[in-house]
Amino acid sequence: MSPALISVAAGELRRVARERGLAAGLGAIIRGGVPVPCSATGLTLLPVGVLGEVAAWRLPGATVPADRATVTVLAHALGETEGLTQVRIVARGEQVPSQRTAEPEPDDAVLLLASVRLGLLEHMLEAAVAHLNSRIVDGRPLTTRQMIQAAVADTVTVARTIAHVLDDPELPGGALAEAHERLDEAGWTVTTLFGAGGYLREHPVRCLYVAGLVHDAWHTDDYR
Amino acid sequence: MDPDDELEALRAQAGEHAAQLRALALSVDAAPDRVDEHLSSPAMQAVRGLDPIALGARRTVAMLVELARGDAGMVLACPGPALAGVVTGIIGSPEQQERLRSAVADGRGWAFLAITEPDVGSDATALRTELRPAGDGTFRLYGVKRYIGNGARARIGVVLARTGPGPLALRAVLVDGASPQLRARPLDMVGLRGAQISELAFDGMPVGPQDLLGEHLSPLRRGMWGVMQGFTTVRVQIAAMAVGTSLAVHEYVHAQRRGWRTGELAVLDRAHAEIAAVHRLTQRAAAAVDADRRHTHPASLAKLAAVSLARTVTRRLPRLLGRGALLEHPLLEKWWRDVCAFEFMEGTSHIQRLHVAQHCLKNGFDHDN
Repeated sequence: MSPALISVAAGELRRVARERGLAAGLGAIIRGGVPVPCSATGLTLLPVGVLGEVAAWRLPGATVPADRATVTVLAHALGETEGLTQVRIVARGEQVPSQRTAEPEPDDAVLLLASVRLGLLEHMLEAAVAHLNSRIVDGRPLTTRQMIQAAVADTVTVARTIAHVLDDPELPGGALAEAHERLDEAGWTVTTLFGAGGYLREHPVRCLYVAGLVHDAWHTDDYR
Repeated sequence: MDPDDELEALRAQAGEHAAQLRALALSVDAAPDRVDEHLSSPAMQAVRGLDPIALGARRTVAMLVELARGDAGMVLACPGPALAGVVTGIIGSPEQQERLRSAVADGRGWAFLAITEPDVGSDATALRTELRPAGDGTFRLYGVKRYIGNGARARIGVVLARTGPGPLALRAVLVDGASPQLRARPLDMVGLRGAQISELAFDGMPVGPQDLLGEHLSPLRRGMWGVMQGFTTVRVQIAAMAVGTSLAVHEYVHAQRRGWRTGELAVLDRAHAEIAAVHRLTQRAAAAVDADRRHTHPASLAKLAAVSLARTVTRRLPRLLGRGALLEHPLLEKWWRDVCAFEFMEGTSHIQRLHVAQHCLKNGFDHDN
């Protein structure tokens, strides 16, 4: 995908994730023809119902066209709460080696995933602030507490910064890995704002846990 | 026995059970309501016998680190007095301690400690569960508690409730888990699923004088005072489990490959050094609890550091195994979910930060301790 297309897609994916959630954001990436990254043994996560629209799979070091792969659908308890399924890919026949460069390029999917995670973070931050506004302690909403305000300000700062990081058409892989790292941290900050309620599987903030799992399944090996 | 030798012996004893706890971990995580199928296992029976009040914090921490190296979720899934035993041990009468002990003595019974409530968390000043006088010297218990470990399957438990406004009106009571005035349901949690975290609704449960903990103590020491001391004790235990889980992840990841690159080894070594440092910090906190349970800040500091460490270790080290490590290795995925629970137990990191800051601002910085 060209840098210009990625830039357009990133803004749209951020909006889709913010308004319609993780599965919708990942589905949009996959429908855009971006190969889906998998582990060395072919495991990955993707939304239920998009298997037929996968163009190709990215095993470490090789790209496998969808019509040359056998797919087994597996259960994943946490992933299913967000409408995702786990699959195992086995390539049939000869594989197409991925291009090797001095500094490996990250998968487009990992770049676009960052936009989806950013949209989810923004949506969950808004939900957290609404939740904290309704929590009254000592006669005041929790949003009047300085520690809460600091957490909100830090999260907004990270979100705004990452939005500009992802605007860069020549973004180096290391910077993308760092952006995902900061999304992990900011996501955890937002998750804790919901208290123990955010640790329930039925709570909407579970999308940040599951998005972290997708990042684990999709991230580029060479940046760690 | 030399104290260090004694701790080493306890570690070795606990370490013998760690492998069995780990072997059961994934099946209990998948089906927490079927944990009773494993209750006769020597490891679960050994954890059941762990008495933090009798052992003291240092010995308990030494054992918990090793047990959590097996699996912390399994430690919390084991039957026994658990946190109710800690609070009853601090403010309960000998008769109440015996009542709790005998309720779970057959090795197939759980106990709960119910403090946290919907909407107010564990903010003691805002707790709404109440003990209404029945007019004959007894009370009726009304209210809802949430995020209570082993609550839905417990035979007995301790509930914090208020008899009126103000901190001195908070009382801890020993209640029967099978009471018809108690409705309990397990909650579907992201992690630590073996602990069957639950919601409990009390609808007029009778509470007699024999159920009130701390009747033999002064009013100042009956309710929140005892619970706060229990919190301090348990915070060190959570820090120990966070350290144990971090060690488990480190060992697991390291064992997956024989040929590590230099840069990868450096990541593993750095993580190990950080785990060792927080382990020592936790041991120091345990010693401080043994010296005086009223000093809360060492326990808060240890929990703050250990929870942050465990989050970092469970998130970053699996990446050394390549893309999809959390899918390839379900135990690593489980531990990644489990350690998030430590954040919400016995006070969030925000609360621990306040304790640490308030202590330092009031007492200055004791840089040697």
